[in-house]
Amino acid sequence: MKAHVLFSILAAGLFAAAPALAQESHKPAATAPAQPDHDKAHKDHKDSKDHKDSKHDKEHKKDTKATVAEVGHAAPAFTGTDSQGNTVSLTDLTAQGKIVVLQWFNPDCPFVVKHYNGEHKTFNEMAAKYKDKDVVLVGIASSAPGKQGSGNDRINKARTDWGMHYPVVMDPSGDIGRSYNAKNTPAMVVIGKDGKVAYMGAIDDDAGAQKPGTTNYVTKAVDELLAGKSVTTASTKPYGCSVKY
Amino acid sequence: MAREHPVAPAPSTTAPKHVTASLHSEATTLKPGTTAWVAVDFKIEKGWHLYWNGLNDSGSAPQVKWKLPPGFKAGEMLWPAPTRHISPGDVLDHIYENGLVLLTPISVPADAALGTVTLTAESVCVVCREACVLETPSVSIQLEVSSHEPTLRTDDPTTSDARKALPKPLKDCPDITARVDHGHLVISAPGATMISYFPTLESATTPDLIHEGEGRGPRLTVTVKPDAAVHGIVTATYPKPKESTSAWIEIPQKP
Repeated sequence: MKAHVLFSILAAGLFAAAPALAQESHKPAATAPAQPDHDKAHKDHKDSKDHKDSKHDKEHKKDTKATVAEVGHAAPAFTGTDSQGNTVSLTDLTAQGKIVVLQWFNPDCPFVVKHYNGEHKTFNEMAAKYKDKDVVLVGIASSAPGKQGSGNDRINKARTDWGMHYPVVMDPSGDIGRSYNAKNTPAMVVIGKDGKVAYMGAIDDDAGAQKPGTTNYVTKAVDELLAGKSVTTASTKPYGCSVKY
Repeated sequence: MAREHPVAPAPSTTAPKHVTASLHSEATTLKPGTTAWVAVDFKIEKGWHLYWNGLNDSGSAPQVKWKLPPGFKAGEMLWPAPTRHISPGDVLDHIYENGLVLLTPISVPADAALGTVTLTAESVCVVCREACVLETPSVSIQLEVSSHEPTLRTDDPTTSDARKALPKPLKDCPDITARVDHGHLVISAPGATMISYFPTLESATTPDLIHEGEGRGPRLTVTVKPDAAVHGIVTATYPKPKESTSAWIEIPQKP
């Protein structure tokens, strides 16, 4: 896989609001606290007597997590290669005055499939709706090599089968996914023309795997941004499969 | 005796099944004007899991749509305590492995005609191993509506086992206590080797549930934001031969 992802320190620095710690490392995943597992969660259990320490730990962890996307803060910059071999740079898109919509993508996840195979083709309809606006939709495939939904061939087949006309950036290392704390397909992020995260969460209000919902939070947020308004619902609980890191 | 027979699967589902369903009645017959209990028994292939209907980072809980004779109504399903499941990327889910039995009350109308009726449960299951697939097992059961007093079935322990596995009200579990103290849910279960906390979707936010939601020992402290009431299941695991105990906790939001 030739996909490469560079987290540009320079680009992060361009955003006035970028937290100072964003420059601590160019690999956000490396700054995250140790990944928990069942055993560790047990070992880490704190009872009340060391509670003060645990609180301190948590505050510290929160600081080091500043490179992860948050609503109202600069979106973590990334440059990646899409499934067709083209370079996609968030910084470039923002510099071109685009609103960028990120969609975590796994073509074999039922919660993704329901947006392509039914009466309503949620993402294709979104791409069409904003075709002549300064809005770009970018899929991100964060499946690790060999896991479900990984590889250019699988992504390109889905793009053909489903008539997708927007790029899907390949993120086999999961670095882009982790920098946005993406846990689901389809997790959604809307980035305003100012480069700040304007919305994070679900695509819509139906968290099941059968049909799209009736309220699309993403188009609502994008429409508000286009109208120069602030986003009324800036955060929802995302739903979907787990991202296959 | 009631017989269970699966309804033909949907035409598009030809792939091997990872979850199968069957229906079980608690009583031998149904009496008009009473509430009967039936159980949807999902058998899950080894290595795969279904999701709880409380807080999860991914997946979705099985949904069951009932097709019942006129006047019959299905009530809210009762869910057993789940277990924790953590996937790469700090994805925390609460799941069921091997099997899941959902007890469901069915109200039988007072004017129900005597004779055989068919109850059908059409379910939608997101069943996952590493990857997830959507399956839609549908099952039916035929039962007799009779004016006789129903008797409990003795030949099928499914419903009675499911009832025993349900979380109890906290007041019925004197060995478990739970309180909220300065933004922390403190659960205590003397003698327990492990305590787990599973919040419902309506419960107060838990910012670090992945680290705090389960721990060894007789005491568990979980950070909770004061944005809602605390509502969820606690499971205390004891050294063998004593089994684990699950209880519902509900602590009102502080004014």
